[in-house]
Amino acid sequence: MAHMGNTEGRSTQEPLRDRLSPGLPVEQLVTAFLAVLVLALWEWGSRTGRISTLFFPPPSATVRALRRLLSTGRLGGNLGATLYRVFVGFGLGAVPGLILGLLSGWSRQLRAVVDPFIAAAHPIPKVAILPLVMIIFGIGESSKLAVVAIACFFPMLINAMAAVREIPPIYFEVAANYGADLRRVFSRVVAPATLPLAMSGVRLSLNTALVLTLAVELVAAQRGLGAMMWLAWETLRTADLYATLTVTAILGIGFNLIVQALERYLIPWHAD
Amino acid sequence: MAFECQHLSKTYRTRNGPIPALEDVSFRVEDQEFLCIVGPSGCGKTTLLKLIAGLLEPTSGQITFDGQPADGRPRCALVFQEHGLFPWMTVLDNAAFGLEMRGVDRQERHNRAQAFIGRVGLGPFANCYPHELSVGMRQRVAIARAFVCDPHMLLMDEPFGSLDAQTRLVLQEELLRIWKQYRKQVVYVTHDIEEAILLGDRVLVMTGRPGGIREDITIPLARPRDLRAGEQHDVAEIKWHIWEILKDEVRKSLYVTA
Repeated sequence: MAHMGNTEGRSTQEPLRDRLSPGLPVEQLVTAFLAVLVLALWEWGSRTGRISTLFFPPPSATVRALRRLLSTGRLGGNLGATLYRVFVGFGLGAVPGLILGLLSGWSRQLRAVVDPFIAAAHPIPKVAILPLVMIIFGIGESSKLAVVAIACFFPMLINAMAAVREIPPIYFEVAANYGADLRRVFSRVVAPATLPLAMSGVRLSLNTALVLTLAVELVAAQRGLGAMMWLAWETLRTADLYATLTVTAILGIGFNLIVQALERYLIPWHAD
Repeated sequence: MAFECQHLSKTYRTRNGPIPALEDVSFRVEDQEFLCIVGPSGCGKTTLLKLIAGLLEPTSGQITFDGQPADGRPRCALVFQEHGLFPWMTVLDNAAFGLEMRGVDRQERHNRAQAFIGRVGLGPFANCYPHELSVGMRQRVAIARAFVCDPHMLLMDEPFGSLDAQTRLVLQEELLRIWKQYRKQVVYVTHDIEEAILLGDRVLVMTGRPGGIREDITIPLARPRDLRAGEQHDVAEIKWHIWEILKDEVRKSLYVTA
């Protein structure tokens, strides 16, 4: 450790701000307090008739609706249908997107062919192609999966392509200098170097998958969280609507936490 | 194994037309010799190293090793200015990379790399990632990586160029110490005249773009050398002489771009 203390050693001093408020998560406490305050005001307001329970049922009603939906198994079944569409659609779209992205990031010729297609197809809002896809695939499950897959395909493709193109040339020179063959260049340089951006692609694709699944379920499904919300709207059960919305929010947060954990595990060299 | 550059020229083809980087460069490096190359920035020093390493093909001319054409190129290890370490590998895996590419098994290459990491004073940092180290420590890892795979020749491209002055002095002495032990043939590119004189048996002074050899100077300093070597009278003369040439070349390249 003789070299730690000299001029090249890294400073371990914390920023001044952190030393002034050591260990006290004041900001978190304020946030939590504000959240509780809003919920309490909401509860009080809707119970005393100051705000409309049709639009804003009290949070306790939402919790009751959530319990009921859970115990009757309605939530579980619909959640399962949504998760199935999100993950199968993601797999069907992101895996080909990743492969094509890596290849076209590598090959200038392939990129020249693929780029115009991306430029033409990527800006189309993917919900808009649902009617067309339903004509082609019918009104069953496959059309929903197809739309989700198509929506996941592009962010993954674009990120994977950028990831390969942005590998600094010096890494290839080092690899070549030490005699790396093509297989090793891929496994030891290209794969790890592209991981950070590829994981951004995964994050984007997964979020897109959730958005598209919900959208598709709102317009054309019997099951799924989206279908549940639509039914709650049709029957004016606002508490059910809030309950389903809460589950959807938790789902979105959960996905991000999973991707974050995956990133920490797969990319330990990335300082955060 | 001595190697020789014969009338090397390199012209880059760019969208704006051909750019000559090197023109008619010829020199010879003996076995175990430490050759330094100084020149104004943009004079093609890095291009020259990449040609020797075989990462680039010359537009004309050739490189021979003991009179044989470059196909029989002996193993050489290139040390880059910075960013040459793989951020996704630990210090240990980075240092062992050359061995890994040669198919040395994991245990063996880790043992050898660990020994060398210790030799550059980074033993306790073997499992750190490069971003956890200072720039000076990273360059030590890069030097360890080059030495570990026991190359015949070391090619160094301003390896200490981005370090602060004091760290650079420490690493220069460290490099001399390791070099003395292993006696590799070294081609060392720098823009630092004092560094070139301290390290090199010979110093090649290059002209501005397109780069050529302006002068070939033998450094009459005994080894082992340390930082005090720079204070000797004849060294001061040489330093001044090189600076006179370089000043001229730097000026020319400034007027070209202005």
